[in-house]
Amino acid sequence: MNWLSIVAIRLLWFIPTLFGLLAIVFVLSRVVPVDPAHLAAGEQASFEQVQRIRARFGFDKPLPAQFVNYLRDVASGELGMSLYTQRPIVDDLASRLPATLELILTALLLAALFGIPLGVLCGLHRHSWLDHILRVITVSGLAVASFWLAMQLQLLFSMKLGWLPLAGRIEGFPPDMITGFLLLDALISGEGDLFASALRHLALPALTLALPAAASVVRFMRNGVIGAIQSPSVAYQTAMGFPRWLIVWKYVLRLALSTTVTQLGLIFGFLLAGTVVVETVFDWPGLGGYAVRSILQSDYNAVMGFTLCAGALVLVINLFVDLLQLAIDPRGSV
Amino acid sequence: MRELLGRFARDRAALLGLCIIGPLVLAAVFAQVLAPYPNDVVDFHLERRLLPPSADALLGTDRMGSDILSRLLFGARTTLMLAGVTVGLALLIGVPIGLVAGYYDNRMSEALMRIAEIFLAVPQIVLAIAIAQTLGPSIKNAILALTLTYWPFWARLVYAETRSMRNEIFIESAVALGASSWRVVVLHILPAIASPIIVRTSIGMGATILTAATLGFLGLGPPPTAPEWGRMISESREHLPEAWWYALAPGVAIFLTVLGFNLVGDGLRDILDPRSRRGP
Amino acid sequence: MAAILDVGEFSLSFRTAKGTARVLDRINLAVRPGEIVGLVGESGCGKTTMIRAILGTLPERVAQIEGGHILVDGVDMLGGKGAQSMRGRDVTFVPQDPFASFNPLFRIGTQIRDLMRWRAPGPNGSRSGRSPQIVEAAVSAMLDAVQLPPAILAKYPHELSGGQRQRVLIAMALLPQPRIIIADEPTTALDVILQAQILSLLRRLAVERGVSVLFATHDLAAAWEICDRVTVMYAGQIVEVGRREVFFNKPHHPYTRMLLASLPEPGRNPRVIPGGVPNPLHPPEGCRFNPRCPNVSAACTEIRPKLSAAGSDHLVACHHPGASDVRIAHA
Repeated sequence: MNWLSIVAIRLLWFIPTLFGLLAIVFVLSRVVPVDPAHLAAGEQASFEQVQRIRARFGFDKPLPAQFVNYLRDVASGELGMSLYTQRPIVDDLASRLPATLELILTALLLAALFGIPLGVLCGLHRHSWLDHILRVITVSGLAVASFWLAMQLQLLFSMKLGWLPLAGRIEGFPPDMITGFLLLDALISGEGDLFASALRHLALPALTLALPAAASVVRFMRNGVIGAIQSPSVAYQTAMGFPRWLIVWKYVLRLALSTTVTQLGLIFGFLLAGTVVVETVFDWPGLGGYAVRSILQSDYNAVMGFTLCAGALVLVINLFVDLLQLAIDPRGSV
Repeated sequence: MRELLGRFARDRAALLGLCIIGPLVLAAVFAQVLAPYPNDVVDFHLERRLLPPSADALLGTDRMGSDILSRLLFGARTTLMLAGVTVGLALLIGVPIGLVAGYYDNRMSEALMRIAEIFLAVPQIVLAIAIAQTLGPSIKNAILALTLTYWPFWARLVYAETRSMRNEIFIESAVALGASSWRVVVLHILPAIASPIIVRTSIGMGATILTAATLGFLGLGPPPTAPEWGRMISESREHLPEAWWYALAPGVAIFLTVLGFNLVGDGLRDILDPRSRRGP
Repeated sequence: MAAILDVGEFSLSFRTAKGTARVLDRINLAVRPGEIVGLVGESGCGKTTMIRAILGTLPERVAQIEGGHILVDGVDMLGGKGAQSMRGRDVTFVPQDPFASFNPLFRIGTQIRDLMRWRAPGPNGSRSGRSPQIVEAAVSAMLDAVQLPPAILAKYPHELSGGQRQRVLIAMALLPQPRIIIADEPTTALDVILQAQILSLLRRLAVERGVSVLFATHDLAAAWEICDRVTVMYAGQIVEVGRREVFFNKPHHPYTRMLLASLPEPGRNPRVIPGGVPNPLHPPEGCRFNPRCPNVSAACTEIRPKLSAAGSDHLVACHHPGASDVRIAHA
């Protein structure tokens, strides 16, 4: 299967999958015991106000009609207004997506930077003291509750030591929006202070998010290396006198990487789920925090908008992971 | 069988896991007896609020003055029950669906798996939050929310395993010998794919506990007075950094519990399914 | 003439959960310059272990060398540094499994280039890489010699057929201009027609370049095809060594005779050798073949027979060797 056909087929599946997602969320949001118009209007609202809101948001029409209207709106790029922020949801999502992406990508980078070499070393030196220590650390890393870890890190680095900020994304006014990634924007605009501030704010959330991901990467790489070392191709290259470092860091590494990359979609899933909690604890203005708040406020349109966005993001990521897999392993295993 | 148990016993990590889970289950069952202040689950003593660990209260007291250790022990009950029932129900729903979809591999299978994929497209926690919020805070609703978002995982796993099993020679021979579909699925395929299921069940317990704790942390799941570990951590937030013990105990409890299940799961994987060095 | 490959009194055991398996027992093996020697024996006799010992790919913690030496061109292959620089240069390898021996994620060309970069001799015999043009030319010439198109370099291993892969491996074994090639059942994974092609190719190229070959196989017919001399191994012991014609027509050792008789031939049923290969954990005392030997005597169960001369350039390890004519129907 070459990459073009994969992309094409995936894009085709986007639509029905997103449709299904929206349907589920829509049903959920309308199955509530609370009248959404009442909720939007507030406790003190008068009857007329509630009626007006009901008409304005279209809550008075029959359910299927509401869904059709919604779909039509989505198709034209209109996701409605958030009850809470009173802004168009599209704007909310657009401003929050880069924040979440910056967080996830940084965490992934950290996980790969630390996880890949450590995993390889563990695989090479099985049962050594390094291997044992790292196995303990990785198993522990996957057992910690992210929100609790986040709080403990805040306690230590922010409250007790005062090294790092408690929450938020940056101090003061952000740099001019070019990419939406504060680190990049600050670099491009040449604002050293802002860059430092953004970095310090990014540290704790990224670390919290990265820990379970790094643990996964170490484990997958370790297993991949152990499997690869035993393969006949390594025996052949050893017999033919290839230098050990070449065998390990070129040939074995690629084999182990290919098994790890198949799990990349899984790791991304963890990261995305992790942002929900991490953004809440660190007040990070991203999609995860937005989702939680919208759900807790019963801001249904926002929830649907978020679901659409998250679903699309996951589909894009899965597509990207499959392409990456194909690049590493030309056998095209799908 | 005995050989498997023997190998499990020699895996120190797995044994450690059992040593954690064993006492945990006992603590949950005998919480009433073990807790120094069993009534602190419902009672509160505002005059004793936010006291650091002492001889009286080994883990300190919380914002309502209740003994944290006692609430922790009862919380173990909540946690284990929540996770156990969730995983059990998810298996009960997901495994049969996966088996049927994998065995028949027709349009219905496609449809079922598409539904599962849709559920899996959004992170489980988000969907669980949405469902839990819609239904309102209670243990029952938490279980429902978690189960609804967990069954697709099992369905997809069992579907994939069943599909690959279907082409195995021994299945073909069973069918050729005239075994009914039902027999083939239950008596032949199911035992063959039991190993990966068992392995992931243990790890799934750990994952479910974390998700449930997250729900509790966000205020969903069991109601405010219930001694749920995640909720206890959430309560402790506004009392940091002074009441450092408040968040520590339930956090460590969650950590140890999930660690225990993960270690057991790893040990099971090493003996049952060593070739599947895939992820959780 | 000094032997290229000199294995002397080499013994090796494996440490297993059930005890120590004495897999190789005082092996004596020699390959002279320019000759092709077959190492023949049934599955489980220890040929592959012997090969791995020469190549240095024994499983580290499990294998224990009990004694003896392995020298290639005088260099000790059991030691460290000297052996490492011989591998892939003076000693090369043609493995049994042509598919699994390639790393599936890299193109053929990449793997060959790495071989040339790190192993091939430089101009004037210096031991470092050569200029890219010379390397390209050498690789092209070799691909030509094994009858493969140059386009093969751009392909991945899974895109080649079994026969093509084996040819690439033969090419890779010859490119570093070795003194000796160790081939471990190189045609087992191929069908009969391909086998014949590959074998004759290997022989022709080796003879052309004066490269010795140690050819391990359980297939007597294959040994007949290309070997100059044949060495028979049974249960970790060498039992007979001799020139090809003598070996196949006048075998001395009872095992060899029974082995040859067990070949299928038109007009008669194959004669099976009764009994089974001994368990390396508890091998028989004396000559390891004695439980199955029709000529067994008391001496055979106590004293291990040494390899001694039985005719010119012919060695047998037997207390009661006897030549007998065995007609081989095929040529």
